[in-house]
Amino acid sequence: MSAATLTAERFPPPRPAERPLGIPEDYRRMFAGARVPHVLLPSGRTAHLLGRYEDVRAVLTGPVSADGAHPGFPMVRAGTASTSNALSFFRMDGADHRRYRRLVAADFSVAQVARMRPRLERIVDELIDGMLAGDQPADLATMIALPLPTQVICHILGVPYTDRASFQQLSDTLTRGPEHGRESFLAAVMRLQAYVEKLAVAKRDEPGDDLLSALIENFDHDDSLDRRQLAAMVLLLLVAGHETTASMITLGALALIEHPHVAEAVRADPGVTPNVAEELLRYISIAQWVPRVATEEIVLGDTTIRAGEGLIALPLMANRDPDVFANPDALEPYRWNADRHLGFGFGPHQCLGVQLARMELQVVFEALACRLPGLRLAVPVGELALRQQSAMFGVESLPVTW
Amino acid sequence: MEKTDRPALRIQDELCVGAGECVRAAPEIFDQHDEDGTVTLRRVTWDETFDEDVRHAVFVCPSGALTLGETGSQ
Repeated sequence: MSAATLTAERFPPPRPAERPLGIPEDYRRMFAGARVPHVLLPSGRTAHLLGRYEDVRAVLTGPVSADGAHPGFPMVRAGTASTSNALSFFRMDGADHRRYRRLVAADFSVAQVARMRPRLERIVDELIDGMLAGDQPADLATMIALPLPTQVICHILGVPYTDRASFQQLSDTLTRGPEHGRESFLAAVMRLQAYVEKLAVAKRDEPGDDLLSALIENFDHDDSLDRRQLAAMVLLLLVAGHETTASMITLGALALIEHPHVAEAVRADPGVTPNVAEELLRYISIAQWVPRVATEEIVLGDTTIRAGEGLIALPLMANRDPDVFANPDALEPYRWNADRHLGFGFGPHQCLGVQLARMELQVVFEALACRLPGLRLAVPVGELALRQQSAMFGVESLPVTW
Repeated sequence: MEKTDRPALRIQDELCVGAGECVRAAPEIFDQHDEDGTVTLRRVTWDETFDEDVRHAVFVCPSGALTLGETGSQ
């Protein structure tokens, strides 16, 4: 890689004005010039950007490490603390990653999630009832998008929903840590860990039929497990289990408002809802960047990435790859291959809660389309406060009327 | 019906991360272990009406635990 191709870029580049779900013009320019643009990040580190569908799949299943403590790891901003110690198997590799992930994977299996569907439907109905009974305009983010996944992950883990204020605020700081500075990020991690450890003490005294009780049982009876991972895993599940789905619900509702034909398709045939959920996951692609470091040489076309160099996969670009998705910037309820999107990432680190998230999204999007056919924005789209600088794209609030 | 080669399925369950994508793609063929969510087979043989689902399961498997041989029978 010659130095001449290394350019300093705004990262992440801004979304187009008035089109929060559109592709940044800077990405179009960068990928018009190179299959694998090599950029200087605001942190001073460098990264090869991956935007082709086949490249993202190849690299995320290839010889790469997710360990944020690696010296070549492409941190986006300067002063960012590594999440390696805070977020458990999210930043582990290989056999260690599989071992810890498998302690919780069965709780998010297809069969386990299917058993939860009646509960999800009841929660969504209650939340929509609550919004309909209140004043207009209402904030869909706080009335529906955040409470649904928060109630669900609390139920799975056995964490009291009444404690949500203590971890929502902390996890908000954690996911947007860099904006709040390194100190508050680390403080948030420590406070969340202390909260989880306090909960664990209570569960050990009085175990429940929940994932946290089962995890404590695992850790108490297997000395080969690193005890520090207990709090880190619960922290990971709490953070990943509600912020991501909440963002996807809010932005999905925005997309349904901006593309009325999609909600109309759901009302005409609710059977298309699963495909609509996949299409929204493709179109929105909330994971703004997926950082890795190469552990061996990787060759993509005429680009050679050496071991130790940073890579950033861009699901948004891969999911708009015209070689895979025809007319990629259109939102099409009946797109035949919508479920081939990489909105949950790919490779061994693909979203653990993928099946749960799918079902939450299917239930909530069908309910929004059918129960709120007049849903619309209460403010101009250009006035929405976007979380542009967050690893998970989102919007601070979504004021709506119906 | 179009004549195709039967996919030869290879499972490396040591690589599986329990995402459940194979079950979603081919629920008649794949299941997940109750203990750790990793892949298990519901049946050891299947007729060719399931071949397309199995190919899709291999495509969406994120971990590389499922792969296909060039040709052959399952």
